[in-house]
Amino acid sequence: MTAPAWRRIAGLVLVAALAGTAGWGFHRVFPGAELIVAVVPGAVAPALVAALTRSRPLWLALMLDVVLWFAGTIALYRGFAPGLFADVADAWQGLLTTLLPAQPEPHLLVLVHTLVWAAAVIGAEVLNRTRTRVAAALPSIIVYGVALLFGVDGTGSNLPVAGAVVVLVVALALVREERPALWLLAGVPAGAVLAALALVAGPLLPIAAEPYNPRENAELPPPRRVDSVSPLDRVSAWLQFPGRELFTVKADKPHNWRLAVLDRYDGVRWTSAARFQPTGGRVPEGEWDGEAETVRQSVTFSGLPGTWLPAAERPVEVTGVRGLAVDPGSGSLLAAGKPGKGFTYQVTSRVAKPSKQDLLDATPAADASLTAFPAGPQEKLFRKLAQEATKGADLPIKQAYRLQSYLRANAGYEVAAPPGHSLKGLEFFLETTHRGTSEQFASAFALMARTLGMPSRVVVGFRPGEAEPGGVYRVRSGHVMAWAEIKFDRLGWRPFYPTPGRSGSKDDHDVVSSAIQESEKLAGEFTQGGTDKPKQSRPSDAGTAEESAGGPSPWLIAPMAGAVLLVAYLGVAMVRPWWRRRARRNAPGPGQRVLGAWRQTCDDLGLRDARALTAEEVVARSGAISPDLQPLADISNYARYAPEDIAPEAADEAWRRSDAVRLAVRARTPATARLRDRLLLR
Amino acid sequence: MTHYSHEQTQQPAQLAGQFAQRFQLLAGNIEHVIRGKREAVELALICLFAEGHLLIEDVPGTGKTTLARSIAASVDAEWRRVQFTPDLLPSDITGVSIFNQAHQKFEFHQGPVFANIVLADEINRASPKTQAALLEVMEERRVTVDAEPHPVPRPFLVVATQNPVDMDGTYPLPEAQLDRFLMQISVGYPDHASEVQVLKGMPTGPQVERLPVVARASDVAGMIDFATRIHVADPVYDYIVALCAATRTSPHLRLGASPRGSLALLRAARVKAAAAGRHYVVPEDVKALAVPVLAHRLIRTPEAELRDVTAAGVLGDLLAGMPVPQAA
Repeated sequence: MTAPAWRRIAGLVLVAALAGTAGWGFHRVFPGAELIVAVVPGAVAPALVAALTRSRPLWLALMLDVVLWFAGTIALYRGFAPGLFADVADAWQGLLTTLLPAQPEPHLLVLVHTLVWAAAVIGAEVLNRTRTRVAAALPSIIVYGVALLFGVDGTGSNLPVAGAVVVLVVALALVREERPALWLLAGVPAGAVLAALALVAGPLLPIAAEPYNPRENAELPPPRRVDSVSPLDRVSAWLQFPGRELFTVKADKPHNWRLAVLDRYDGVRWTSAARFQPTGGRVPEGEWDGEAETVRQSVTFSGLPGTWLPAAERPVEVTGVRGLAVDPGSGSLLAAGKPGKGFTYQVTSRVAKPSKQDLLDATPAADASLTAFPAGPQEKLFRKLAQEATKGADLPIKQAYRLQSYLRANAGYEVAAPPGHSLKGLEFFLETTHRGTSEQFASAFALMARTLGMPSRVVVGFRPGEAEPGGVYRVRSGHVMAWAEIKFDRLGWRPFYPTPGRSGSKDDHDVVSSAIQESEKLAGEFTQGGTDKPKQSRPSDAGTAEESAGGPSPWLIAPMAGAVLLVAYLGVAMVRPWWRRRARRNAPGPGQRVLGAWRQTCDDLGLRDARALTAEEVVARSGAISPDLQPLADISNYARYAPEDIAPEAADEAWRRSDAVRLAVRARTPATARLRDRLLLR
Repeated sequence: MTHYSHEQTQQPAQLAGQFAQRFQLLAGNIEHVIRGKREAVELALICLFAEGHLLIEDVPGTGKTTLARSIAASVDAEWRRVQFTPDLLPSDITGVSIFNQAHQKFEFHQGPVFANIVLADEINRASPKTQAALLEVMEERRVTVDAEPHPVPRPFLVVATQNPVDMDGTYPLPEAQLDRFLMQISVGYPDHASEVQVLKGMPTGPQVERLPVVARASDVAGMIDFATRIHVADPVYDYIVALCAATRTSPHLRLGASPRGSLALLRAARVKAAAAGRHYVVPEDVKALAVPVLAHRLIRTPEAELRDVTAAGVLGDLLAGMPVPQAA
């Protein structure tokens, strides 16, 4: 019995809508309209193909589907993409290592296009060629699950999409139910009750509070050397030629512009352990969740080398950068390629404004990697000086500010000081010369803090620059400055400016950042005072990669591999019987077709392994199920053992009777038993 | 019978249909007398049309003789009964040459074996020499006296009976001679309803003498010839050979089925196929006849006998584990 045409067409429309809705589940990953290009063709084309090839072979439909998928990718890439298949294979990893929202790049969107297309193809063909009711919705539901997983930490709500999926699945089940159209209305209350239950019970589930986030287990790209020369090494060079214009910033207030963060020290150089992740513009917030000032900046490049992007601490959103990557730990920004002159982007930063009490209550964070001191005799000296400097300070924050004041008071700033920040150089700086640039001051501060058990790092950036009308600050190479930061629990990283003469509000005529002003104010309160003087320095090599990539985490691979295997198994379990029946039905020659019909019937009767049974014995066992079994057995015997070739009409009749027996078996077998048999590949 | 092939191939199928019709007519006719024993009747008829001989092993009074008489009465054939006793001589069966003084020559006087259907009652009570004489006629289908052959009429069916109880003073047929019988069956007691019907029919019920003749001997001969032309597909040959070969390697059997056994099974299967209105043999035919045709040819091992494993049981196990041919 064939389903009415309207049910078939409505089913295909629903399958397309389901696939499209499942694809729309990626809206938390790609919030923009670009998602439409990835979703709509992938959802609609297979349904159209299925509608047009219903009575054609499956291979033809699949070929057309593949061609249309390819056409969809051309629309997505706006041309032919040579690395298309590699993009499809790599996109999932790209998405898992991207901070949401992701850039709507074709090489990422192609995954959505492919998933939606696959769901639509499987769904449409299952609907077209089987009598199952909701099996056609299964691929779309799986795709929606994938979308939920990828977009778990994105913005926006899943509720409307989930509701739409539920409604469409219910609608599909109703349309596939071969009962009068009016009966379909009876399913509406059931769907409403189900949706209400989901709404009420959903938030009570344990995973509702802390949903599983695959990105937490994704293996991030290894630290990499993003510039041939470390920004810390450039400090001295830039100071030698201070007039070189690097960039301008249009901002409400002057701030120090951070460029790079270096948190690993090996005794010779400071390097960065940053794991940069692609992002569509959002930058994860820091640890501080209290009072903060929002600073909006528009940065225009003039001659800043490298791919680092300056911004005030701490950026939370960046626009105007294509191929932006961010280190979630430090908030450092990186462009995909070297920005040219005139390149402009906008940054919104959140500058922490903790209260004095917050500072007094702060305790250093526990992080062994950030308090590590390289082995060497210098540690003793650094510890002795640090203890001397912080003598009498009972709180960590006071120790830090006293350390800052100590360096400012006991060493001088000198632009011509030898560059470098190795342990021996810093020892020479602290014991002998007492002259250096911010490179040495920041490094010495960070290492002395580490001997006190305070996690520290070095930041390379710029002072606010020269103020111009309209809130524009012109930053030149001479404005470069390194400072140190200490990490406190809850507060996050707090900056300290130990360099005298260059980082104080009274040292020069340049604009001084509000952060420095505040830091000086606090230092006055927490210490017994101290003075400083200016001087200068020179670079060393910056950090590079430390760890090799080990591929994605096994914790991620295992469930994904399991999911893939599960989906593959379900696919095989679903398609295998249909495929086998189809192969038997289309076997070459009427004789083979008759034999195929008989074997199919034996399978349907659960007698696949009873090979010792003759046709008559099969009839004796199961003849009560259908009156078509005996004639089918006769035809089968004739085809196998009679001397004549069997007529094609007999083969048709055999299949008609086989189908009738199959329907009779289905009517007698509970749905659960059928599902069990199918899942067990019986 | 429905036909699934092209028109020009329908003639054998039609002939098979006619065969089946007549077969069923005969079986139905005999069943008027032998009530409730359709299977035994059909097996006996299969023996007749396969030109084999039937050994019935059963207790007295179950209708062995009546069965033979009913077959003879239904086909308008001559039948004789020979009660085998220890003093029965071979010539009492085959016949003797007597000198005719009037014609001054020896004349052959045919024995009771010269009939279409011969009932050899309690064959195991005769001496081996007499048994051998009968078995030789069964195989050769002729009696040779003074170098002159005397063929027995066609059709020719020997229905021998054995009594499984009261075996004292008997001469059990040796295995080699059992092999000469196409089938060994047991009529068995009728079921309750059939026995009631038998009682109700006495004395006015159907009698063998009153059975109508539904086929002439010449018709039977034609049906025998037709049965030999029934088609057997190669996979069915393989099936028969595989089954017989399996009996030769069964751990429960000391002696398996011989090639004569396979030939017998094939002949019987052909008749059964025709009796079902088919002009081709299906494995079902082989399976249905395997036990009556082969079981009496098998010799069990002592261990199997001790464990009460029957030859029929062994065959049943072999059939249950042997895949039927799947492809033409």
